[in-house]
Formats: sequence, C-alpha cells, structure tokens
Amino acid sequence: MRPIQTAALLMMAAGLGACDVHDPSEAGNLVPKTVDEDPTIPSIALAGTVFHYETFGDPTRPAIIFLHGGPGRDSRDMLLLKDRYDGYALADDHFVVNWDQRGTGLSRRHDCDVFSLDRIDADLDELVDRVSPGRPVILIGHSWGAMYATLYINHHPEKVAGAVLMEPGPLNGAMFESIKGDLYDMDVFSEWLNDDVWEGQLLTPDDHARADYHRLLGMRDAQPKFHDVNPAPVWRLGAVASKCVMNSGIKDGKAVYDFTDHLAAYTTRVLFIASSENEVTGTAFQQRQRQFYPSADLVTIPDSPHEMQWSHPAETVAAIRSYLTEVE
Amino acid sequence: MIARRMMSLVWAVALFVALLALCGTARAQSFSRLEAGEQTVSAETGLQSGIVTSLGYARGLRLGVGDRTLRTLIPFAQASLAVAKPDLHDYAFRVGSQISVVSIGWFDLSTQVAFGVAGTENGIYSGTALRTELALLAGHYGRRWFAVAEAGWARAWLTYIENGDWYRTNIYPDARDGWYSGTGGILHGGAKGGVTVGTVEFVLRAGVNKTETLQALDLPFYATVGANLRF
Repeated sequence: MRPIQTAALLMMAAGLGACDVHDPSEAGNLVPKTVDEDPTIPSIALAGTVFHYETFGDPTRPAIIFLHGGPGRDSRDMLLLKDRYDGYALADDHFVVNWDQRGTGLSRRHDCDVFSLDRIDADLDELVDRVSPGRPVILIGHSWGAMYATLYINHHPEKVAGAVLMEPGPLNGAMFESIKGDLYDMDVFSEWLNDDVWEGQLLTPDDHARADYHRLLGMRDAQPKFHDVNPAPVWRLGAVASKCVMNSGIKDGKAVYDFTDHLAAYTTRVLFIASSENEVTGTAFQQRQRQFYPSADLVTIPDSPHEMQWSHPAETVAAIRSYLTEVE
Repeated sequence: MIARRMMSLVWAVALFVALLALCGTARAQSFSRLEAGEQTVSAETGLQSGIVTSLGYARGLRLGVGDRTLRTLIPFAQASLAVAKPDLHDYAFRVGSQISVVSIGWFDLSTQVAFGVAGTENGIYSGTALRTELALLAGHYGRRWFAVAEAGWARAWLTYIENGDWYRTNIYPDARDGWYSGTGGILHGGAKGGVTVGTVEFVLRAGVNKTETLQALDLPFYATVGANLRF
C-alpha cells in the first residue's frame, strides 16, 4: 500500500475513533430512560409490569387517580392539576396518584400483543386496589384518559366514588365512526404528514426508542381542529402502546368497542368538562356523550383548547373542586 | 446533432416542470436499461416516503475487452426533494450504478448499488444521513417495453441528529446531538414497467415498504410515474 493511501486510511480511522457515535436504540440518547433503565424514577410494580408513578398528599385521604390522554401520551400533561390555585390544591384533601399507563411515558415498554382493553382494565383495577384498598376512588381523566375512566366504571361501578371526564374521546364505536374523519389532518400535502413519512429516509421505528421518537412528529400538528397551539408536554410518548391500544378496539377497520353498555348501573353523578374551541370533541360532542350516564353535568371552560387541563388549569381545578364538594 | 441534443434537453426540462406542476415527484430509479453510449434524463413523481420530486441522469458505459462488450455499466445520479410544502431541508441525493449480472434469453437480472445522503428538518430535529441502497431487478427488457420485479434494501448507516429547540424545551432537555449509527433501514418489493414512445420512456413503479425488521411504516407502499428522455 502506498504511503499516501495508508495515511488516508489511518486518518479516517482516527477520525471515526474520535467521533462519539451514539446508539439510537439506547434510552437516554434521543428519548428519556424508562423505569427499567433508571431506578431513580419513582415507580410501582403491579399487574406484571412497572409503572412510572408519583403521589401527592396524605395516603389516608380519599384517592384521586389521574388518567392521562393518548393512548400513548403520559402523566406529564396532568401535572398542573396538582398545583395550588386560589389557595386550594387537590392534594389538600385527597391522595393524588399520577401515573404513566402501561407502555408509555417512563413506564416499562411491552410488545404489541400485550395490549388489550381487558389488560388495561386489569392494570387500573390493580392500581385502585393498591392505592385505595376497600375504598372507592375518584377518577379524573382527560381525552383518552376519560375514555379509560368510562371503560373502568363500565366494569367496576362499585369501585368509583366519582369521575371527572375532561373532553373524553368517543365512548363507543358509533361515536367514533361519527367523527373519525375529523380526528386527524390527513391532507397528503400537509407538512406534518410528509415530514412523518419522509423521516423513513433517516430513521425507522424498529425499536421502542426510535418508535417513540418518531411518534413525536405528529404531536403538534396532526389534530388542528383540537386547537392545541401549545400542546401539553410529555415525558416520552409510547408508540407501541398508542397503536396497539387503539387497534384493540377496532376490527376490520371499524371501531367496535363499547365502554357504555353497563353505565346505566352507575348512578353517581359525573362531571364532563369541555373546551370551547375544540371543533371535534368539544362541547357539542360532549352534550351527546353525557347521555350515556344516568347523571352527568357538563361545564365548558371559556376560550380553552382540547388540553384545557394544561392551558387553563386554574379554571379546571375550580370546576373539579366544585364537583368534589357535591359528590363527597 | 448538437441542435437535436439541445432540443432533447429542452424536452426533458419541460417534462420535469410539467410533472412538478401536476403533483410533486417521487424518488426512485425509474430508468430501464441503457445501451452503451445512451444517456437519459429522468423525472419521476408519486408517493414514496411522501410526495417527492426526483430528477436524475444516467448513461450507459461499455465494459469490455478490446472490441468485445462484456457488460454495460449504467452509472446514475439522482436528486430528490419532498415537495408537499416546498422545503429544501427534506432532500436526498445519491449516485450509483446498475449492471446486468445474468442475461439468459429474454430474462435479465440486474443489480443496483447506490450511495447517498438524505436530510430532513422537522418539528423535532434536523438530520443528515449517509445511506446505501441495494436493489435487484429481474425481468425482461424489450425494445419498446420492459417489465421487472424489484426488491431492495436501503439503510441509513450514520446519521447526524440535532434536536430542535421545541423538543429540548418541552420534552427532553438532555437529548443528545451528534452522530448516530444505524438509525434506519427500509426493505421494498414491487414491480416496475414502462413503454417507449419515440425517445421518451414512460415508467410506472409500485410496491410495498417495511422497515428492515419488518415493522410497518406509516406509508407502507410506493407508487410513482416517471418519464425518461433518451438521447
């Protein structure tokens, strides 16, 4: 080999050696670590998995369990509801539990076949039994989290002392079919959609870290009719959880789930909270959805987008406080 | 002769502009096979990793010993842009070569190897990937038409990722910028065919995509239409 070729090869090798090349599949690089990679993250082991889990307040008080949106988002978007507004915080008189659902946020990741509606119902049931044994809980859910609350109430009405449903998504397949065309901006010329598919040239969702990172691309712009101009932050999206929980309610391309078929047994009053700006699942849609419950009130937060718990937390907590005063 | 070539180039540019006006265009290797000494300018449009526009050039080079031609090597270059919204940050450029490796009667098996760079800038990060592409093409190339099955593997071996301000501020402040190894790979399989009218070859391509570990992609298929001007 000629000296100049040898020198070029050595320089190339030295350059690559000096270069710190990261692994895109390793948590902590592109996306945060989960409870499995970072033992300092507060967690709870139950239902055969490990959840990222935080609590606020006195554990002897009545329990409130937050249920975040998604599926596939996480508990960070509920965090402002624990703060103090007008001298009051929910944790003053409750034991508040905020957790990342199975496979999302900083909770342990799972393959798709683990996810089913029965599985996530069992997850919440074990959590309820753990944090409030023998005592019904208050569920406060947003969007998918409010659907999740309804799924749970539908199966375990005796374990729920009250529920605040912040702009739930469709509570059964028929409601889903009535709005599915408006849920996402699927214009083939939209920038977010083309960014999403073009990304395959550089990065593909072959493991949880890359899939979760990729999933972020639609987070800001995919649902313009919800008017979340500054969407609530997340710890880390759960791409597999998002896709596989949604698919568990869909058969042959049609939504077949029904979280409402036993709600007649739940006579406790529930509170629906709607935003004023959401064009899809806003106030008008929730007027229809409240009919599934024997007793339900509806409050609209003025000038708010879909994620009112993030954009208008003080008004949201005030509505929750007023409701809790009446049902407890 | 020069005037004829100039007219050919004008035709090629006009065709490309017309395709742009119709839609966007798609990234791919749309030419069929070139004989030694032939050249082609190609334009292609359709869905392939988004709505993409590609413009390419290829020529046939004789590989032989003395007067005996053994093979025709077809080096090519292709530039692509994602054009749903004009954005110079979503681009790809590649250079490579196609060569026939088996030719028995009407049947031909060719292979294509390319090296390239692809970039993106989106709401989460900006990135630049160094890529390779390998494809096999099996079928028939006639005088007026061709039809081949194609299968390929494209991989981003080394990608520089710079996380955006929004991501750092709102999601993950400790995200690491820098070079990442093996960020992505796509397998594709499909078919392409075309007919030649005068000096223009019209080509259709379609097929399916999966990641290299057989995960589903958000756009699981590709479908493009292209035109190659030979001269």
